[in-house]
Amino acid sequence: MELRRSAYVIREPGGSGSAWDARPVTLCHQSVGVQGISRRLQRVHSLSCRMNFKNLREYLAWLYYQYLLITGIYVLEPWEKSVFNSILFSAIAMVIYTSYVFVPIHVRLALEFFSGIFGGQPESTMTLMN
Amino acid sequence: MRAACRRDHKLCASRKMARTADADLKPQLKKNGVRCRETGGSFRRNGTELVWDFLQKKGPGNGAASRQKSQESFEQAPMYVAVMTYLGFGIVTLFGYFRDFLRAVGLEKCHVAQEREEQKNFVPLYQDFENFYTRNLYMRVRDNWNRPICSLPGPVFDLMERVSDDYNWTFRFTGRTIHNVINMGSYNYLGFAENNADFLTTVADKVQQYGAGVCSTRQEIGNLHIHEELEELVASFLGVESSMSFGMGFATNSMNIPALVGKGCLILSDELNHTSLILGARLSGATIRVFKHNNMHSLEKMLKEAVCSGQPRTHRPWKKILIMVEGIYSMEGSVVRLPDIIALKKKYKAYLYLDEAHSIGAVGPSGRGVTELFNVNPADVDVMMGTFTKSFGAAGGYIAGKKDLVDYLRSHSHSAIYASAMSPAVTEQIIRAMKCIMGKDGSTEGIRRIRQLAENTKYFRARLKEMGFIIYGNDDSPVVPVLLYMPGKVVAFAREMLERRIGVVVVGFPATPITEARARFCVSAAHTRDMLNQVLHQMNEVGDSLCLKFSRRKRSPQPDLYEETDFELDS
Repeated sequence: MELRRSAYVIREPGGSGSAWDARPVTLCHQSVGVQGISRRLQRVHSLSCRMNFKNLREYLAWLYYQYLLITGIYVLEPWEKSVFNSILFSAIAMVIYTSYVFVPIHVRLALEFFSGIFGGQPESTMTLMN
Repeated sequence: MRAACRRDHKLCASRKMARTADADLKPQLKKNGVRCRETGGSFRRNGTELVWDFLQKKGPGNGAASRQKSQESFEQAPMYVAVMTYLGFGIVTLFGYFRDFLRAVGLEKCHVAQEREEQKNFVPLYQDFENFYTRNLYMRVRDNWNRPICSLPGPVFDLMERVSDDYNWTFRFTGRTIHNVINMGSYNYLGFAENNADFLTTVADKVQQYGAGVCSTRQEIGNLHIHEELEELVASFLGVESSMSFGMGFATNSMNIPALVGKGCLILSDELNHTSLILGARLSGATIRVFKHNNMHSLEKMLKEAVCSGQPRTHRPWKKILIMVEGIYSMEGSVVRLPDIIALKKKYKAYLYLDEAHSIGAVGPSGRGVTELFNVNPADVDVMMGTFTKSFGAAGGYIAGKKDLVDYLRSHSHSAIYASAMSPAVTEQIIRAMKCIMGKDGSTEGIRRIRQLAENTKYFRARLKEMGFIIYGNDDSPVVPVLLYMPGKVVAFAREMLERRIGVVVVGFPATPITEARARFCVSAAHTRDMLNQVLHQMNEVGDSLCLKFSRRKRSPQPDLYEETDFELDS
């Protein structure tokens, strides 16, 4: 990972401003919900802004690193990582394929079904009145 | 409980104190809090944290001016962290099963011990499932533990570089040394792990005089004059009548508790007690009941029930009730609530066994441990135990208290009868360290180190909290656990810090609860401000890179003085 460093560098406390005001304003505690997810994304975004990524490639590499850490894949051997990644990737690909192929059809059928119920009624009362 | 008392009227008639205790408890319970009259400590729930505030008398003075508020907090991480931790463990466990399957089928070479072909039909010798965790998780990442060092483990040390070709099943040394790694893992609280020849002249003299080893037990011919000198010094240091020293800290607990309690006695032990205390309690044969960590309500409930109901089947009164607690709990960094426990012990006539392994020399204005921190009379603690391993840079332990107790232990302790006595060099090291702390060697080095440790602790903890890490424990304790939670992050943290030349100790599942893996920092008086800043700076970067800053605390520039508000009690 290009994020690792091997040199031993002593930083002076006064100089590096980033070391002292380390965090943006803390957000208050609320229950986990949609707000929680958006706050988390906000925090990830603010973190990555603070980390000074030079280019998109480094940012993507850092995201991949986070994925390795969170799923625990980081501790496995490389071939096990590949096995897990391929299984996950194929599962996600299947989900995307299914949603791409079948979701529009199902949505259209559902809309027709519901519009058939609501659309049909006013017509019959109108004909009766006429 | 009341009903039980009414039934066994004869038994309860003599237990007036149980009923009065109930009456005393009522006004306190109404307010729904654990409050100690002596110190005014109270619980409060602050958002996600459970914070215990208490007033401590700081300094030898005893006016209101010297009282300061101290806090102990155990913040909870957001829910998604627990979910991710379980996810990580789950996935690695699945892969563990997969690898075990490959090993069983024969597609992969098995590195662990296995039975011979001829013995396959016998009773299994190696229980495969018990080693599942070791085989499938620990082995993958064990390059972060047991790292061989090749210098004195002072504030900085040298590590031998080692690599593994087969994913940590075997290691080989490359021949290079990693120099000047900052040591944040040693229990070197006062910096006595040093090899300065000037300081150690007395030790060298004693080795010349007494030799290197004793080759006998205390009760036979291993009782040297230097041991008695040490014991007198320890007794005067702690402010008690008498003390006895032992060669090994772990053995002090495990060999002396069986001598103090036996069958028919009750031991009330804290949830997070050290293995040596648990082993000693089990060896003694007494009944053991565990109360929740630092929870006075749970302890009081158990005491009341013990006094009222007596022994399990016969309902005879217990011969002794011994409350076992530690001064500082090394995995949490929390400090025992000594004034509350002493009040309870006096009310219910129990005995107190205080294990000050980490707190002796490390807390208190002059290093005398938690009794000084809370300004409690040392005579109130029945058995004071401690070790010389942490703050004194030596090895061994002591038990101190009343003269009757120590004389009894001299003849009845297993360690005194069967274990080899402390070697003279180690004894002299303890004597010199203790004289330094007490100021008896004529310099102010001891008090300077204690103040430096207190300052380092406060600074380190404050900066880490400010950065946004979740820290457990009391503000005064030099043990700082930083919570990491996920197994991948634990490993990555240890490796990243080593790359930046900082040696940390990370602790995972068997030693801690499964969702609370942590890195434990031990601040030392030998660390300079520069070193701490270096560590903090690198931690800031690693914390950002690995997303470890889970704290949701609202940070104010100044700590507020909180009133007692309503809060929930955990029981």
